[in-house]
Amino acid sequence: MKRLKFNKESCIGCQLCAQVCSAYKEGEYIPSKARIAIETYYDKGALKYADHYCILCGICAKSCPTEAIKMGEYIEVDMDKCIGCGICAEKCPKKVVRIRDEKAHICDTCKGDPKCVKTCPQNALTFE
Amino acid sequence: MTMLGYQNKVLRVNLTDKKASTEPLRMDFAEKYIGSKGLAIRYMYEELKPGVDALGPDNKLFLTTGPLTGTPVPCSGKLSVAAKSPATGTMNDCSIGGHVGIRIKFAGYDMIIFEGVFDQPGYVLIEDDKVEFVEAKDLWGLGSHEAEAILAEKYGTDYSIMSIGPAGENLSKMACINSDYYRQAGRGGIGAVMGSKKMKAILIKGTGGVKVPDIEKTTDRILEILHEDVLQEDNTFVYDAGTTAFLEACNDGGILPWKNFSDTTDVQWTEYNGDVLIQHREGKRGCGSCGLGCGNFLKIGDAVCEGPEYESISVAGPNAGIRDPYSIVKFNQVADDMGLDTISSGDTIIWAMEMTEKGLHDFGIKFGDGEGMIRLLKEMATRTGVGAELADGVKIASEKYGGTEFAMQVKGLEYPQYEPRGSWGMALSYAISDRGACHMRAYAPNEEVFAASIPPYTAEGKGQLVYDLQLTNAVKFSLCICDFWGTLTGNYDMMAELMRLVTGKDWTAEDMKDVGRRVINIARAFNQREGFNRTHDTVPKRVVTEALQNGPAAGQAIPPEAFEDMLDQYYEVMGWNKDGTMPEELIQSLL
Repeated sequence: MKRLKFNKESCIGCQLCAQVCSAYKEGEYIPSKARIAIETYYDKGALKYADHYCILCGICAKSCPTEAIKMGEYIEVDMDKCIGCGICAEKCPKKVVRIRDEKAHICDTCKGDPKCVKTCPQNALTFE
Repeated sequence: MTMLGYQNKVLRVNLTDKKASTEPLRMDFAEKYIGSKGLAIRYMYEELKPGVDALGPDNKLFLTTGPLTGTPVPCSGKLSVAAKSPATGTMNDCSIGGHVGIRIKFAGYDMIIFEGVFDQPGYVLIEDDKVEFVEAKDLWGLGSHEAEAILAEKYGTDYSIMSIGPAGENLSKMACINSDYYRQAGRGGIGAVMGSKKMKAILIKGTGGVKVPDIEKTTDRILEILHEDVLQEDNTFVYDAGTTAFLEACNDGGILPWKNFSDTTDVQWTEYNGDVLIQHREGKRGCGSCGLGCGNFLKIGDAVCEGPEYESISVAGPNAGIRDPYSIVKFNQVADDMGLDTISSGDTIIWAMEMTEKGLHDFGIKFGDGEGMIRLLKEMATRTGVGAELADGVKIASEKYGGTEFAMQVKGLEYPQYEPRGSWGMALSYAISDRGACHMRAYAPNEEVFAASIPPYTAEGKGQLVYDLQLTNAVKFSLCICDFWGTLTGNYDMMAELMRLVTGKDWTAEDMKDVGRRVINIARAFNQREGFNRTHDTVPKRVVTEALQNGPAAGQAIPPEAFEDMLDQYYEVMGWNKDGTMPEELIQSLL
């Protein structure tokens, strides 16, 4: 199974990944709704990285009480079954599940062809 | 009327009344001036009364994005920070990187205008449509880095922070504004305008979005441009070396200044060049929406900075007779923390070094004294000791102590680090720049020195050259695109395409050029209203009287008549009068 990989040494923190993700998924450039959130920032004289992206660990699927989340080659959320309880978001180790309008929004790696990877200008994101 | 790409909204913040309100963006201005630089200057022309005190309550601070800000258009994450300049008395627009620009846009605004003054030191916290005013007594007096660290700890890193250091608080005409610690709106004392408002910091968080027409098609095309045009060798050097790459090019071209512009070139330049500095690199960082990633985060011992950029290396290195990389990085770090522009504060110190060495006045510092530079930065920022005499820059200091002939400034703004005797177009560029000596308005070394496509040591054709360069930057910076997307320079077709993609309106390359001409002219119109004319478009005496001794440009000085000839040419290209003023009908056509 192919997964997103993040190499922080190459990341410049431009957030193009989140902008492009939200463009294709939400119809506007809105990083706060993107299914990936990779940022860099300075803290106490050091360069730090926040790397929220789906690693396809499947914990969300396993913890879903209504079996709304299916994991095959990628995650699929059945919006009819999802009750927006937020358990998946709580359990997600990468804190990348977003609950909005009582539904879970989870990265589906653009169905195996992730736009964020195609976007990344420094190849910090790969799909392998 | 509204336009996609824009938020169509301005946030107006009155610090005196501690009140904020929103209003529609003037789309009649946006249609003629697009965004960022151009839009900010048009607003300043409209809202700042002629003769307004730059450090008084009626000056305003304009933070202006553009229609491309917040979209994935590469290199579009910058922000214009503008006000009337206390250093020059001209209009002044600075460009700051980091992430604050895109966050303002995501907060829902094209522009934020700060008016009035706080009664006590404070900061402003903006989260989408929520605006809070907070006292900042505990932060007042702190270095910019320390203040930012305290605020980041308190509010989290979802906020972008702009802050000033002691220099801004003490109204130094060389004070800058910092963001993301290491990014600056540097020039013209813009930090003193913020300081005069007793505003220590601005925090901005945005959770909204930016809408464009046919977003999938638009994004597909933007990504094509990113990979096919931006991420090409002509631009990607900024990732590999950043602006340290200019050191070799400038040295080889005879335009790397030495000891307060008394000469050029340094045979030992490799001791502090990019290869040496990058060995200490700990990471790379770009601005929001960047793609290229010019920022070199590096540490040498206890000296830390993102950079140092070419300008800072030059002014704290060879131009100060210093070759020690630690000393250069430390200078950069302390200047940032004190909230001082490295170019202006550096030029002022190296002038003081020359004054001391020549026995004209003892400022207690000579060429080669790296520790002394750090001491003077702190003194200038706090107006203490010898620094009190230097805190307002080289023009004011030289008018008091002499040495005006080697005080390297135009209109009160200190010289950038490109020696004009080796690139004559730069003498004109500095002279006619809308905010005093600035290298970002028209950058002649590319043609005159690096590519050597135009002879450097002649006045011939320089009026047209400087105009052409100024025009393309005026458009680029009004689109709010970073200088480092070099292959966009002169590519008006692509600029128009970006505007079509994001706004859905039918912009053409000719429209782009029209915008550029308006931007140059409205800036000049603002300055003319403040009393500026040909007599202020000057060159430091050293450049026209002292020939360079060393390097490829040895023997060169710019004859005064050649400088005047360049001015004549430029005014003619611009359609201005011989005395540098603008015909009234030209001004009216801009409004």
